[in-house]
Amino acid sequence: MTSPLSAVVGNASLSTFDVIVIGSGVGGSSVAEVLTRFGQKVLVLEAGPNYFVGLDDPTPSMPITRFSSDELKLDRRFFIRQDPLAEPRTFRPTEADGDRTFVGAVNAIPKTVGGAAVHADVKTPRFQPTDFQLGTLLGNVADASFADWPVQYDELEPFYAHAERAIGVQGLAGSDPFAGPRSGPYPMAPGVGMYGALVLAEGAKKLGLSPFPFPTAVTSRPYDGRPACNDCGYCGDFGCPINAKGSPAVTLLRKALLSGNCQLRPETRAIKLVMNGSSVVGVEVIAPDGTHQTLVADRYVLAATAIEDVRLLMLSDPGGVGVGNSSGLVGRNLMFHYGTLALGIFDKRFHVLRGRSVTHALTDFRGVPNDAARPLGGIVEIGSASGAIEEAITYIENTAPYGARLKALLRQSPFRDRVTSMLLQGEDAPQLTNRVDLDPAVVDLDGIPVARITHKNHAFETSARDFYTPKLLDILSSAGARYAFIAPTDDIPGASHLIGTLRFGNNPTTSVCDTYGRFHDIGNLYAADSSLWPTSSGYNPILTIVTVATRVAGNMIFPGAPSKALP
Amino acid sequence: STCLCEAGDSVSFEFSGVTRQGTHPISFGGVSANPREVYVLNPFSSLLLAPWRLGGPLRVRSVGLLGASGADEGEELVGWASVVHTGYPKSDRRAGVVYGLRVISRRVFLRLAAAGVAASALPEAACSSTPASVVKAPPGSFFDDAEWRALNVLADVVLPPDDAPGGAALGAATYIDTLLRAFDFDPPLIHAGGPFSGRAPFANAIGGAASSNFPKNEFAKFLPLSRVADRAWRIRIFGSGLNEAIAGKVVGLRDQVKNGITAAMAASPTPLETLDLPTATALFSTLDPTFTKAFAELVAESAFAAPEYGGNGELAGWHMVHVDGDAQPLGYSIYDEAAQAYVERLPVSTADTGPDLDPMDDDTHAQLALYTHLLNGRVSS
Repeated sequence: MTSPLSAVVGNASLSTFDVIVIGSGVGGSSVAEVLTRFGQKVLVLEAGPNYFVGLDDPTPSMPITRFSSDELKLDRRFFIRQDPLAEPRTFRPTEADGDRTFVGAVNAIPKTVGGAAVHADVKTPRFQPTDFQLGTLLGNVADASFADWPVQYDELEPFYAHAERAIGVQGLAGSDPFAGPRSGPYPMAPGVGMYGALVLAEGAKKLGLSPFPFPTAVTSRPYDGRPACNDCGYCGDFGCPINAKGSPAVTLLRKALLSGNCQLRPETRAIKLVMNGSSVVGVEVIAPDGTHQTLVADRYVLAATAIEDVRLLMLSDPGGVGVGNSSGLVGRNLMFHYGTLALGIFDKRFHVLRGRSVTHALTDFRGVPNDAARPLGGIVEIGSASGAIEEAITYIENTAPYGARLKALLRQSPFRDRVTSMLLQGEDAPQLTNRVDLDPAVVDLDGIPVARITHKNHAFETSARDFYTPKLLDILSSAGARYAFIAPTDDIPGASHLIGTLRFGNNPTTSVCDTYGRFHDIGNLYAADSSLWPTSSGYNPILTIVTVATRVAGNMIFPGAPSKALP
Repeated sequence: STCLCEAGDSVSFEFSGVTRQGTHPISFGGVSANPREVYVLNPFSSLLLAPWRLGGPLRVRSVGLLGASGADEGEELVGWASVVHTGYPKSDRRAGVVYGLRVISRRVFLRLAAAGVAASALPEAACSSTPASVVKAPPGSFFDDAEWRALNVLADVVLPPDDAPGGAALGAATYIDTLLRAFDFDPPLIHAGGPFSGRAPFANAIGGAASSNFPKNEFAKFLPLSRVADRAWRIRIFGSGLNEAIAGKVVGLRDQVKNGITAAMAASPTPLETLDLPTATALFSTLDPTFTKAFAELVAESAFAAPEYGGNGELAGWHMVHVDGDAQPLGYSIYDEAAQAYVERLPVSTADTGPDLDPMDDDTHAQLALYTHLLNGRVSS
């Protein structure tokens, strides 16, 4: 019997396809929605299982999810997060450190239908206009490779507006003093703020800063057939049990599946692009039953993250430099966001398991290019939530491994119910030496070489962290924190924001893909996720992934005029 | 400390009530002299407050001053009492239950009640004393009876019983046994289902308050594993075995736990369950740290995971740390379509209104001050 986790979804009768999309996350779902709307027959491949029952059922109460407010399942038992026992990655800071310094969970984000956005609390800010021009604005930065984007904010604005409507973003137009111009209001007003976030926001206001409701793809009223969020408290790191989150699965991918032009195959791992000269002629997959198959279409779209896209390109050229890599840039300029986590522990409790984890933000610390008094940092997420198991593990690993003290800490809960935090999503400078390639020895449980991450932070982001650290502590003090400190950084990258590696641009010698995401070297291969981005910005990526991917797909339908694809 | 008893027994329940001031093995007049005027605040829920008449067969086993854990120290918040109710017939599921109770004065009770804290009956069983279940392994267990008893002792080392249940009473042994035997079942007992457990109701369509309509418990219907997850979890539980060439050497959880328990039993001159808690704790500290860390994490998971995984019986783990657990589909706020505004069912955007049942004590403050200092942070007075 076919497992419900791997059963084909959508139009199962389709047997020939115009486009195969690899990855059902934000980028892949965005592409599938556009292409199927214009009659293209699309096959979406997803390596992970499907936890949406009835994703292709038009009944308004569908889909029903198997997500739940179950901390054990989501945070400890790899329900959606990539399991390092099944698929480890390896890491080293630099090439000089040898083949690897670590094997295990490296940037392990969810692998499931809907992709990494399923686990996110779906924060969806737009980038600032200057974020697309840092090559020009910053000039030459030593050991970094900043570049302008081949598309600017003005052209992207209608795509941003579409993205906000498509996944349902709540927010308050005009509340972010550093935001770019908007063509209209947010589709929904802000929902309920969390107490911990509001306390910090007040602290920030006292210092003259400008906190505002975080634009978030979570419903604050019934929207597009989905119910209003009820602030259940298990949001960040959890799939939404009631589909209040605008996960791409229940918004974009569902629309594609309901069109009749789309077929989704969960638990289907793409392991090789089959090449014929400069064209892709098939994709080899491992099917849910473990058999190998080759699937064929006219065009192929990579949307499996900046790490897995590169892994596939490398696996497709054994012993070579990787498919589509005449520039030598495939896998290079890997970026994350350099997180600076400021924690405030208060005497009072915050009932942190009520609300959406993060409800407010400030952009005062995003900075201004070339202004030494305001270095480029990033948006600050305000608020936090964590569960009782996570808190217990924190104590077991750090302060009280067992016994009466452990129990006392759990009951008094300084690191869960009395803590609220801010996370600065600092811009990570692009560097050629920060890269993804294949580990020469370590393989996954299918015997396939795993991705190796080589990454070391640049002074660009570490100095910004040093600059903003006292300012973050000032906010915590202003808000009344009894204890305020910056969490130590981990040497092993754990960031969920994976950016770069297939940079897009107009020059084939300095970029991998063209301005519309098509590989310079390969006429029928595209990328449609944050792998394309030349720079990381200092903002959460989901909305901009939808925006850019929609433009990529729009250009596949209307070459040279992608905005014609906007509904 | 031991919590060994058979249902209905009047057991000897020794309690180590450590507060900020230390252990107070004293009695105070409120309970023993005139129990009918004592009110108790259920420590396992901030919402349940009951004027509970202490009389009849209720036997107080230990009492103490509240000190650091009292919202109002001294005169108003009198102390705590750990009691065992021996009056229920053996057929009653509440028999032998050990309650941990906060004892407060009538004045405090009335003040709290006036502040809007709901008064209702105490839950049937706030803290199971794990009768019988700590003595004998259940049928089909991965462990034999002696190992089962050892498992319970070590679980209490990780989370010692006080006025709230310890690791054993929270169901650590059953949780661990369920995980290690997950593949005895189809589907394997790794991922509980969803979206709802049935513990919280749907909201009323009009007005949004809690309805009397509860969803089915889908948590109890475990989900199949994907092809990849199935292989990974078999390795995690059974070890790498024939997969070692690919997965590397992985010692499975079965061997980790069994070897650790065996080592603990071997290190003890008498059966582990005969040791008092300090001695068992000292012994635990001599075990392989890889085992003690893994074991502590399993006990923590058992205490705070959804009860469908085998632990957190009667939700006592969540109650102990003031967590409501899964709240869907009701949640905490209701969008009122008529008013086009949110109504917060319990405070989301504002401060808690109830008492803080476990304020930070001096030891916690000292730890936090040290931690903050080490991280070059700031401490405010």
